[in-house]
Amino acid sequence: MTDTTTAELTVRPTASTIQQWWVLTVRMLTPTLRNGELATQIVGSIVFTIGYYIPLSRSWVRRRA
Amino acid sequence: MSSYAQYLTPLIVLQAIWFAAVSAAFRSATDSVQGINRRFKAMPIASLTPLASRMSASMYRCCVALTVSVACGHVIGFRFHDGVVHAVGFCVLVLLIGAALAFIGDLIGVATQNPEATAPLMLVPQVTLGLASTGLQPVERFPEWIQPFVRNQPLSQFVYALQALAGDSTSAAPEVRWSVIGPALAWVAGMILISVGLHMRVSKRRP
Repeated sequence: MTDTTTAELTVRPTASTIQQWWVLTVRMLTPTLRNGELATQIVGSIVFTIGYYIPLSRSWVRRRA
Repeated sequence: MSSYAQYLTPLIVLQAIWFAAVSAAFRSATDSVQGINRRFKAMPIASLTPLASRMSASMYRCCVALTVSVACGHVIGFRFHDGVVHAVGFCVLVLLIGAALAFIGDLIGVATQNPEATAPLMLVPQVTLGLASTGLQPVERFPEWIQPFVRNQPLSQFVYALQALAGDSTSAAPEVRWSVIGPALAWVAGMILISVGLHMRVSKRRP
């Protein structure tokens, strides 16, 4: 192997900060789709709505009446 | 307010984005405890890039939480009454609060380096401030001794601002004025400034 080839093999391409940021962001986002975190987020909002609205809306209506 | 849905939805939105911040804290703690942050420091990566990527992922979760919770609010009767500008203002304020909470979550994750500890540390204030806020019922319905706390705590100030931006079909909603929006923005700015300052200190001590 010549010196030139060795040099070509060891030099890594420099990624821009934007590319690094994007790769790391995707690294954070991919597990949220796989491990159910996103589903938990969606279900959480629905549960908050049902859990607060159903029991408390009756007392709100009673108070206004 | 014309309906309880109109009154309650701002609190539901806030609880949903706080829930998203719990995930941010968990991810940050996991990265810290697995030594990923230390590894990034040894690589040719700008020092703020890992934090920026964690914040971007948190904002994505906040957008999901905002969309789903507003959709849920719409189902029970919540509407934006004051036009597009105020509706956009509502969403921007929610995302700003989400960013502040995500910063706090990230700080807790880096500081504790314990993923199991992040959920209780984030959920206890969420439940406490949520139940003792004006998001569920007006401040007059709380005992007198706790009313100053309920009125002035950050979640209540966020709820006032969001109720004002959402508007109402009656004149019962707070008006969009500096005295209503200002305290919420001040709380957000304070939360971000303090958590960023603490984050820098903690990150230096615990890579």
